[in-house]
Amino acid sequence: MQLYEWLFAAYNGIATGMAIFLVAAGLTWIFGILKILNMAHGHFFMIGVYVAFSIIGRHTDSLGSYLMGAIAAGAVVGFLGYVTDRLILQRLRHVDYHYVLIGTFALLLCIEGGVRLLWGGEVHTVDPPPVLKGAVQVGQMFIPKFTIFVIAAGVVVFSMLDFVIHRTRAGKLMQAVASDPWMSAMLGVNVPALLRLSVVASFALAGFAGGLLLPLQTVDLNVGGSYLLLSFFAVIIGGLGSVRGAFAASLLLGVVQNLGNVVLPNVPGLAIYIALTAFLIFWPNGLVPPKGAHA
Amino acid sequence: MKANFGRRALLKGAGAIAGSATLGFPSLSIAQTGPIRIGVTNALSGPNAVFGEANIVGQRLVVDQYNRAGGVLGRQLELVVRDDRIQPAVGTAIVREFAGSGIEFLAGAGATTVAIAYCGLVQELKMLYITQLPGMAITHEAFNRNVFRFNPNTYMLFGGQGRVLAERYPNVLKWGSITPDYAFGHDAARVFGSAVKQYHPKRASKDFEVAKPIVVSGTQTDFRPQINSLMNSNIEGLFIGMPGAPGISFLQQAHAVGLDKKLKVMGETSGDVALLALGKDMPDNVWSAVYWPYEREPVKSNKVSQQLLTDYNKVTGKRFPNGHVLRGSIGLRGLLEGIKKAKTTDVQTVIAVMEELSFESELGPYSVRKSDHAGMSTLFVGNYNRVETEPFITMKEVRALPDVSVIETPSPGKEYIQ
Repeated sequence: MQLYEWLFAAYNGIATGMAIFLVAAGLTWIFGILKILNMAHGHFFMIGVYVAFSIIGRHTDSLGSYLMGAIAAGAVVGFLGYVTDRLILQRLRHVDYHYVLIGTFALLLCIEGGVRLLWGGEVHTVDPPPVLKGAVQVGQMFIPKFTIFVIAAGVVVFSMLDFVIHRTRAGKLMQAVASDPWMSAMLGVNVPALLRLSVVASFALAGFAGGLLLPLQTVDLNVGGSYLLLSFFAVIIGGLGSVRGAFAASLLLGVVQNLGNVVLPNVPGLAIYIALTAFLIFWPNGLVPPKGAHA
Repeated sequence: MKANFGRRALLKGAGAIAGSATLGFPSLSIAQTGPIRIGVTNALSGPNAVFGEANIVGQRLVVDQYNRAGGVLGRQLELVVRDDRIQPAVGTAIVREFAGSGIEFLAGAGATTVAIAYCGLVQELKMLYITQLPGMAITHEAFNRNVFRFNPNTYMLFGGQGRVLAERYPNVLKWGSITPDYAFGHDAARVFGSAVKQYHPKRASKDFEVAKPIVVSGTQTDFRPQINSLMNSNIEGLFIGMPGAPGISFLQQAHAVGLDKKLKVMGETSGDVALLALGKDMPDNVWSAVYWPYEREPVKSNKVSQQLLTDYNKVTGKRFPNGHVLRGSIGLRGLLEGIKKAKTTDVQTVIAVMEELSFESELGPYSVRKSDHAGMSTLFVGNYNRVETEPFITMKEVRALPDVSVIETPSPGKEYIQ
């Protein structure tokens, strides 16, 4: 095994990790605030992919139109989040978590059927914008330009989320609602509005991620599932509800997955399950445990 | 009194039996004059849906053609389609439901594992099953008389492709493959590699090499580390064993860094269904099985093919069908021709007729090998290249191999070992 293969696997692990984080961010946010494990999160990501695909088409002319497509996908999915909250999630806030899992799983099935009806089952691909096409050669490594963009996008999204949650009044209010909604309401916080805003933000993040990662994978009905499992792993390893934890865990998962395939080439994909098992045994509350959690 | 009552009761009973028999006749009559129902399962969700949906389009077009012509044995045809979700447990439950509702003919399956589960079941349920899937077990260890396979198997598809590429590219000495970590991928890469070793004109050269396959996860969609390794390797000819969306992702990612320019030739498993999806990312010089070369002779002039293409354009509104449409249509056409020639829907009679079946298909004369019920016609392997106009893909060259020249020796009931 040569050095460049290790280096490239590590680099690609970071790019993969950022892609996982872009999907996991919304998932961990909604769990942190509403304590809802949204099984359909990956499918809202898929809606974002299809919406952006409908806007951009198979070939993007410029970075600007591509980003506008991703933002529009975020807006559409955010609106769907508002509708979903009014119709479904609001009713699931005070019931046992089993019902939440069943309810959001049913939602997942409905979305899959709806997407099939609207867009069909064919597979499509989308070109990155011209400025992000091609690769940069560094020694023996051929680094796709688009992965550099994904890493940058992941860092920007994480920084913005972290700033909003920890440095703004809205973020602090959301933390207060997540910690004790009753006390927050007593102190005059409009809890229902903040909860709805959290849902919309979480869904908008999923849709935006779908648009942003559009050229990274094929556009097909499996795209929802492709990141969902890894996003759940990131939320579990990161600590339920922690955006910082999800960021660190996503990077870790990306690197473990890629280096694992170098170390164990005949059992691809195994390393990630070994890592997950190790975390569940030794750090059951995750890298950034929720307040009040005990091992 | 007792005797009279008994007679009356007897009369009532007889009347009831006669009545039920009379009532029963219409239903029997309906069964013989109503539509011939054919149960179809395939992947309508999940990774194989792209193939399953195309197969079903082909099957529906054939059924429409026969119905327009008055049906078969004077009866209209009806497809009953279900999603088996490529899960044997789901599929077998559907097949039992079909049998319970009186369906005797079954077509399809979304994956070879599902088809294998059907093989034993259709024998138990006395159904006739036709499949389009390439898994070797179907005509080997899982074989029984109720099962027929139309379309080439894994050995024919990838052995044929390996042979064509080895003979066509004598100066490509370093061959490699990348394959998903499940049976189909391993089989495809092994058969391809064996054929290259067997047919390459310079196989005796010390520089000739077929490298060990690169194995990737079955659900993997990010192949950049493997592509980077290939960029740095001495591989000149590559076989890509991932079917469907993962194969498309690989080609897209390979094109992004220029792997397609570095390699002299590539072979792949999905056919035009994958390559059409690539659009402007279509690389040059990719070889694949061509299930339906409708723009190439002799298929272009074939009346059956022309009709299917016309119907496809009309019904779907699309110009360019993928070859998996034909993979669905050809088997169903075989089944319907079998029923027509048998002049009955009795399963055992239809099986006996289909064992000797030959008919005119979209690919020309089609026949069934009696010993293992393998359908045979012509295998086409095509060289796809990029063009600047839609659909951004053109077929530069097609090589035809008679199926009989690439099919393995039959060994029904026994595992196929290469």
